Amino acid sequence: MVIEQSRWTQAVGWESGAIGRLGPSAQLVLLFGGSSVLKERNWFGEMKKAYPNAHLFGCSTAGEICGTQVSDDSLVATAVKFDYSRLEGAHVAISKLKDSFAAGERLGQSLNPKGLVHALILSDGVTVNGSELVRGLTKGLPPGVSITGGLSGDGERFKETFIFCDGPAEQNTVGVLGLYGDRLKVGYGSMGGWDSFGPERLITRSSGNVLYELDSKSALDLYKNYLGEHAKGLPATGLLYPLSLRIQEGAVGVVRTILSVNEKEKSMTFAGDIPEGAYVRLMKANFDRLIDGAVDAAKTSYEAIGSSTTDLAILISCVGRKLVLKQRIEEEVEGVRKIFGDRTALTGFYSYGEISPFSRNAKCELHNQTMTITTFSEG
Amino acid sequence: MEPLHSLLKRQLKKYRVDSEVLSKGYQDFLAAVNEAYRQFDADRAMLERSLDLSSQELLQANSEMRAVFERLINSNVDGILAFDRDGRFTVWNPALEQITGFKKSDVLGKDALEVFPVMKETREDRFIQEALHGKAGVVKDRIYHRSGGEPSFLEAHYGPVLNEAGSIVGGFALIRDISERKRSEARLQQAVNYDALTGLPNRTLFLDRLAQAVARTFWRKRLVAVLLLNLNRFKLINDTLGHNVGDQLLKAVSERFVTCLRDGDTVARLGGDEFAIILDDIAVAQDVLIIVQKVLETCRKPFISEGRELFADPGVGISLYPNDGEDVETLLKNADAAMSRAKELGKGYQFFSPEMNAKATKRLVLESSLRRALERQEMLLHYQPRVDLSTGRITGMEALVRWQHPDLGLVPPAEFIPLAEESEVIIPLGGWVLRTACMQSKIWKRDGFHLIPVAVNLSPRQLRHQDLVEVVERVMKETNTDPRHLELELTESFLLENIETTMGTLRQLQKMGIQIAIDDFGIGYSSLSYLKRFPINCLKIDRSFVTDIPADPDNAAIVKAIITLAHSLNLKVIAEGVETMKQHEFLRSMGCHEMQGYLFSKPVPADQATRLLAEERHL
Repeated sequence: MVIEQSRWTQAVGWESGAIGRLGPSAQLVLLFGGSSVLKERNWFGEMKKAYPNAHLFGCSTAGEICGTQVSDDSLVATAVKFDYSRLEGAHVAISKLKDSFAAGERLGQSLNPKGLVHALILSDGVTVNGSELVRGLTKGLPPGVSITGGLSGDGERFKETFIFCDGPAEQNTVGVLGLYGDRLKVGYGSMGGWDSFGPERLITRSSGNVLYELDSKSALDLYKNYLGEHAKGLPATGLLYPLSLRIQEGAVGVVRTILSVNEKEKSMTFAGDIPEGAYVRLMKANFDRLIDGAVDAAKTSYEAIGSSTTDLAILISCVGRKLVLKQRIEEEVEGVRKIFGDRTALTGFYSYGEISPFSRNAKCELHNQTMTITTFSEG
Repeated sequence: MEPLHSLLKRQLKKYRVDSEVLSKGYQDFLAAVNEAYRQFDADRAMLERSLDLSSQELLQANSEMRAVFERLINSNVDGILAFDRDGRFTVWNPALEQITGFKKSDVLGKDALEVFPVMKETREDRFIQEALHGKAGVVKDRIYHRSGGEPSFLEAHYGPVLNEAGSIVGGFALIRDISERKRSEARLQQAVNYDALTGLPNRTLFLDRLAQAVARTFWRKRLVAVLLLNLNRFKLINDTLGHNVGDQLLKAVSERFVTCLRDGDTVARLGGDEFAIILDDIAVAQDVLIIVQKVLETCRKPFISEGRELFADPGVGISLYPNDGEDVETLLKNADAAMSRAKELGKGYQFFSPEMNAKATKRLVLESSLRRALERQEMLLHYQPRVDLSTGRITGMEALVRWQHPDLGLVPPAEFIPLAEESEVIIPLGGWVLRTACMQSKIWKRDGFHLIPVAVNLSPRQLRHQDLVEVVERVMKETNTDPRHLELELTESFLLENIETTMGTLRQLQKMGIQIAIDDFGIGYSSLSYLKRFPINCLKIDRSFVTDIPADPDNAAIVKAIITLAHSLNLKVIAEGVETMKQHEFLRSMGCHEMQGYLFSKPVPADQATRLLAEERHL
């Protein structure tokens, strides 16, 4: 695998000078950028010129990862030439939350199933029920194909997100990249690092991923009370208190974060299901454990491919972590680097939701507030 | 740039860093450091706020749960206690105060043995230890002696209390007072096995004890005696004096029976006035008699009820294991046969003998063929003339039923009438007798004989039967009989059953013009005052008083008294069983109106009776 990586900023332009050294040999270009940057130029045209044979796959973000650096309002391009593997891309439009399952299923069915090893998914981050999307995709894909990916971001604004999938950046889109090849090894891991606190609360009124009441009281009021003066920063500040959701007695809690708030309805929309009758607890960040979580995710994905040399690691981490860690955000990326070493190319973004199984053989799920890492190598 | 964080500002001042210089050369760096300080404060404030809010929430949730918990514990009707890892009580609810008599304040903080030292002996303290080792346990039917109270029955369920991590933090017990349940179980047991009136074992327990006695005796060369007793005349007492008196008598008799028995013997009330006694471990049959005699003796003394002397001598039937039967059923059946025999013979007691079974078999055969006797036209009537003592002429005929059995020949009325009475056959049979007798009367009338009244016996069951008046009316109509030529006879004792109803029925009959006679007068118990009240036309002196008159002064006196009584009440008086001229003379001299008996004629078939009429025979 040959990888070429560069970052573009308004101030500097392409930091490593000209791009496109891999030229026609590149099969894939991963593009992650701030939504304002994406709107600024015809990046698809530029990339197509530099890498004429490559699949272009990417999205808008709440922060871009390039090596161990995390930046905002930049564009990170990572061009990849695989030695043995081939790729296929597909995308569908999505405009309503309730279409999420169908969109996922259609997307899964549109990939050629023969020799398919892994599906990398990037989705619109605002108009989607991530849990449903993942369920649909899992159903549409042949069994045994692993899935990872994430929901695209829009800084801390939660307004508009974009997807590149072999075309210009588009809103209301879900794209998938199919990876094929006998020698392709894909590893993944996903870790959180948040602590539950306070009483357990019963979900007494909700609909899909929209939450109204906990213990028969307004959930939004509860958030506002806990956020205090930060309440005016909703929905972004809601990420400071994700929910730990426990559907069954004794089950592992999944983490849910806020996507949007509706003051009129007093409702909060989450990135995944909030079913009535389930229990939730508020969560808060634990700095050390957030960083440890990222490192653990790296270890899991690294060990998943037999601890062989990893060529490429895609890091999809939650915007909520960035909101909490702020200036220290790069610590989690540095932690990941320590596991993989210098030879592995790191790219990725801060997202509105992460998609991955918790561990090997587990069912693929939507996560929030995690660092989800997918590693690629060709043995 | 944001204003500098107060701590950063102080630090810069303290370490004499020139912020002017710093903000010129390192503006971005200073902004980042300042932001980090500010961020740290914001994070800390958030953390403190969340800690504060969640503490409040948890405190409230905790107090709400505690309120529910206390309410549940304190209002539970069962006792609830909890103890810590050292076995010291931490929870003690009001129900438990009630049950044990110990106040919560007296026991909290103490261990079980301190409060209940007796637990050491009853080994109940091990349940506490076991609960503290994770094992649940139940103590059933524990008798608890509360100081100054009745002893109670408790049931206790012990168990461990685990925390969320699954480790044992103490134990609990749920304690229920089951005394009421125990009492009702005992009552039920009593009701199942004992007679409510007398408190004696009932049939169920009797059968059980007899089976046990038989099983015990199987290997030993001993006997078990089964005594079956019922009280002569009990029914009469019950009917005339009321059930209260009857019940009192049964209780008094039971008490006397008990005093006659040895320890280990059983006397039971099987129902009604029927009692049974088991005499266990008897060496020879004669030994039974010692007790039987005691029983008979004790009943000879009168029982006093409401100032009245009552006599209730029992008839006792005895069967012996193994001689008279090897199982409970046979022993009882044979004792019953022996009891019937004792009554027949008018004896106080009777041992079972095998020919009684033959008799019983015959009775069964009779019973079944009796049902078909009417339709097979095996019944017939004989007639015994009644004679006027002054003129010597026939004044009437008493119709007497006979059964011509195809195999057994002529069956005496004494054998089949009681059977018919028991089996309700008496109703159609009585109707048939009435109809046939009336038909005969009609024939005599047609044939030109002077009017001959026929007398027909009524059985008590007929008398009790609702349709009696209707049946008589119908027969009269169908046979065109003049009611004045019909006389209905009933025995003295039957009068006294359901006095009011009987009186009503008799009044109706008498109103129709029918004559009413009291049969077998003198042997019953009728109070003379009844005679006045009852609509009666005639008294028939029982044959037992007529025997040996005038030689027997007692009988002569009785007969004389009855005749005098009849005269004074303006009743006709007839003597039965007159066999000699001496009797005839005596009766005539006393003023007795009529007689019947072998002196004139035994009961004869209709054609012979007709001949007697035709011959105008007279004494």
